[in-house]
Amino acid sequence: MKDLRKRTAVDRLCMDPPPGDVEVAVGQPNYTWPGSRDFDEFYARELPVQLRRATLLLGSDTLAADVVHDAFLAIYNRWHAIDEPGAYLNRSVVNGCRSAGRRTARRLRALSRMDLPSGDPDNDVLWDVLSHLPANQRAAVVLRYYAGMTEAEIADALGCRQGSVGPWISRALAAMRKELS
Amino acid sequence: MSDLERKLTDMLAERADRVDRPTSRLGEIRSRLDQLESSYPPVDRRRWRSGSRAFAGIAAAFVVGIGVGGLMVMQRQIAAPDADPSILGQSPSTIGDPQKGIVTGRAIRWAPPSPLPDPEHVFVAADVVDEFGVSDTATKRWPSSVTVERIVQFLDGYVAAGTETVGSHSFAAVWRSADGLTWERVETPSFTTGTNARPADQYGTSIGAIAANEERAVAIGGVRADGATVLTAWATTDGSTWSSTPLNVPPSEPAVINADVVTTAIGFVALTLDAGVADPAATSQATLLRSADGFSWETLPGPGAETAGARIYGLTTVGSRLVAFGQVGGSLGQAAAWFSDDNGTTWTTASVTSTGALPITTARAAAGLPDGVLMLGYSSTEQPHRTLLDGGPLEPIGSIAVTAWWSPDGVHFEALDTAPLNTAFDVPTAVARTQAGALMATSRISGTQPSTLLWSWTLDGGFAPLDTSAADLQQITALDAVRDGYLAASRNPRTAPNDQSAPADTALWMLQQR
Repeated sequence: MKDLRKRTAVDRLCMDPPPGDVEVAVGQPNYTWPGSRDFDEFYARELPVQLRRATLLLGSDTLAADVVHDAFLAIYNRWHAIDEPGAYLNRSVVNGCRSAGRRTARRLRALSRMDLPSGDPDNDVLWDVLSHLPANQRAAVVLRYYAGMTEAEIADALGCRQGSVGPWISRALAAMRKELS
Repeated sequence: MSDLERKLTDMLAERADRVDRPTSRLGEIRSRLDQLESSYPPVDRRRWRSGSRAFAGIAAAFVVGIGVGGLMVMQRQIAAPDADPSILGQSPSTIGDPQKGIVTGRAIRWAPPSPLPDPEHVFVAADVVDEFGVSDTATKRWPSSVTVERIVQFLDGYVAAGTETVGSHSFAAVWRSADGLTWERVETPSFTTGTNARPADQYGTSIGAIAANEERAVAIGGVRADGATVLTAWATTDGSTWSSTPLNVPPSEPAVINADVVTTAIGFVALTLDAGVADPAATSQATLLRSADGFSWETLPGPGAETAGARIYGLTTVGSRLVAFGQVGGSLGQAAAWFSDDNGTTWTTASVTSTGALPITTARAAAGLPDGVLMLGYSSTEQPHRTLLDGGPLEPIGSIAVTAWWSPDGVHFEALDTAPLNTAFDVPTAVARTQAGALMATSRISGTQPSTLLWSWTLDGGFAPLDTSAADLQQITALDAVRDGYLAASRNPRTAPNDQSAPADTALWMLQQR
């Protein structure tokens, strides 16, 4: 069965509806946008990756699950209109983490010390130092040393100039060295 | 790769391995959008009109009588817990106009009188209504949520400012009320169509603070545009028509930019808030901005630039004196304050007395009036608590305590006795003052999510708990003194995203002194 693409409330609210009407099959158990990628496969592949990344960015897996879920929900709604869903998801999750971190910091700053379970004591110290870095520096460090992204990829995820990433990482490492010494 | 970089890589991998196997919520994504589609009537934001298309976003009112030594001479109108709620001129149960999409729900709730500190204080509750005029359950649902950052008295009523989040988009938002009970969204096209605004961007716009004098109101917030967040001021003379001005505050990179704003004799003074740096040797990058009209702004260096590891967390006034507060020595340092007698041109470090044995102190909130300023913060050990995965309870492994200082002049801050507050892991989140005293909110960190408590304060009587048993306060995001008492906003931080029966998100409360 073919039908015009369902326009959701989210489309209406976001003020930037995708251009044109796109045909889509609806009512199927696992419906996909014709001629495009399969969302289920994308979701299954990216969920654990993004959840771990968001947890490292936020320090809370509960908040991270919320942010990642919101990012998937947004991307699902615009699935057909996104050329590079992986990059789009990266940006959404990183930005969502920064927004959630800002809200948490502003509301309950004492909770900014929330931590993951203790493991290696050296790792605990390093994690604590990392958690006190400014948001951009922390995000750049996590994306560089956990996600293994290049500076260009980090810049894309953070929505900043590529030239900003290197200095952020350098300043972060310098600050961490100073704290650890 | 250096040794530090190797350790970082190993540590991050180890931390990531601790994240449990994720649970798929794919079905929830699909069903949620279906629910939205079926639940919300067609709404086109671009056609909203103030007044005719009433924002039905938030309307909740609470009244609490706080006897404060008879300093406020108001006729007692409530004699018993079941007294007539018409004391507010309009029962909350009658608030709402279905034609405007305003919906009320729950019945009025009355709390039993509290034996302390005032047997007369009584709560009255109205219900939360949803922006989309659907039902009071709508704010529970993804993707819409509203956060009110501050409420001010302006012209003949009140203005609340904050941010509405719709999915990954945010919209600066302003609501107006004549009585503090019914609130209406103000159409603010300049919030989304300013020079730098790109409402379709990830962040959109947001408001972090607002201040008002007798002639105009100024809101400060961020506009996400072209990969950068631009600190922006919005100004109005009537509460309905707002004009935006991008502010000259470096850096223009996508840093999170927040600022506080106060009114002074020259107009408005804003100060950027520094989230802090790990390096105790780093200096503050705070920037001060001042304006007579809210449209033309002068930029100056903020306080703390000469002090190692200075972090500014807020701005208040004591008469004509500006007082900034925060921390020096980095995130593990000590509470600090600065004052300026020339509207921010020059700053002097204030003296802040030590509060006790815990090594770390910080000042996080303050409320000043001409007779002095109450400053709140907390002291702690280096790591007061940690949390477990899967939303487990917070596990205390150190100590944390509310700290408070009083200063009659903003120059010398003396520590206050905060023993009544520190029966558990409490941290202050908001404070507001009237001539009669102060009201403060603390967040009690225990269990799986924090709970909010309210406290009254007077210089002679100290801190005393208020009975909030009838209130579902959630998390206080704004608390401000207005002509009749206090207005507060609360928000459920949606700590249980899977629980669609969770309490409604945002509420506004009036807390009235009598």
